[in-house]
Amino acid sequence: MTTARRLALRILNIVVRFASPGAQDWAKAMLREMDFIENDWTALLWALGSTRILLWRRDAPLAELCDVPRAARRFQKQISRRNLREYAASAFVIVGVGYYISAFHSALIRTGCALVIVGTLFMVYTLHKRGSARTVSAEFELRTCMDFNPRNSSGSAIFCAMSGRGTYYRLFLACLSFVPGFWSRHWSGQTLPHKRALLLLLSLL
Amino acid sequence: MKLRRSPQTVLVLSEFLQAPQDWKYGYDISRNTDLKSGTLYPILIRLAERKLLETRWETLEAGKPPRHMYKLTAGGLRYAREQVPSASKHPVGQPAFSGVKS
Repeated sequence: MTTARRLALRILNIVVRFASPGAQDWAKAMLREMDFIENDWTALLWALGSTRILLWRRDAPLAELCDVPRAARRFQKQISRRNLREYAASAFVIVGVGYYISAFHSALIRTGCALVIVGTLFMVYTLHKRGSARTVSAEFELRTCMDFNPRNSSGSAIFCAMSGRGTYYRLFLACLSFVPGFWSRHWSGQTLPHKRALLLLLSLL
Repeated sequence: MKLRRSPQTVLVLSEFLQAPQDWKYGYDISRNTDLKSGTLYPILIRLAERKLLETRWETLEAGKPPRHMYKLTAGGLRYAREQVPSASKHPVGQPAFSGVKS
């Protein structure tokens, strides 16, 4: 395989990976056509043209209600991944701020850092309690499509998880818990010059 | 929803009108119309979204991934015949004035 074709395949695989759910099939269709393009440079041009698909933001069409469990499963995976990222970021914040507790001797800074850690833990707890992905029950999948109603218990559970109703408000409250920690740390003004950048980064997080 | 009548869309529609009953592949359409993939596929997507184009996956050989195929729907055929200039819109064997009211 020539470099041009390898590059073309790589580009198309990236397009397939990052295309929006509604455009995935089209990206796959373009990838599949690659096998029938004899000229490698034509294949590369074909692949470059395919990147336009990335600009198309389309939701996956739900042909019928039976597609809802599948869409819910996909959404569940998406939420799980997002939460995993949030947990990792929180762990990073806790470790970073924990280091500050050991590095500074001022009681005020230590209190501020401790409050930030408490705030992070509270946010993680809120995220876990209110914003974690809910498993699509087998019963929901087996239920006939005609039975489906968003007001039903499992239906509403999924839609609640999908829309995150009520979660944002609680997450906002959780974010507020950071304020005393950051405020007290800033107020004390005892930051080591070489650690200011790290402090700024942590504050942004 | 109206579809913008661009020269490229007309080209694609006229390509489909060459053999309205046949399923066509993306690369073949691109070759016959000289349109780049970045121009052709958005047109195909728009046509499919407006139910003017039918799509399906066809497995050519066992073990190989299927290939995407396209054909105009009845509505798409009607739309194509409205949009494409008369020179290319009538397939062989079909009366040229069949759709015209007297």
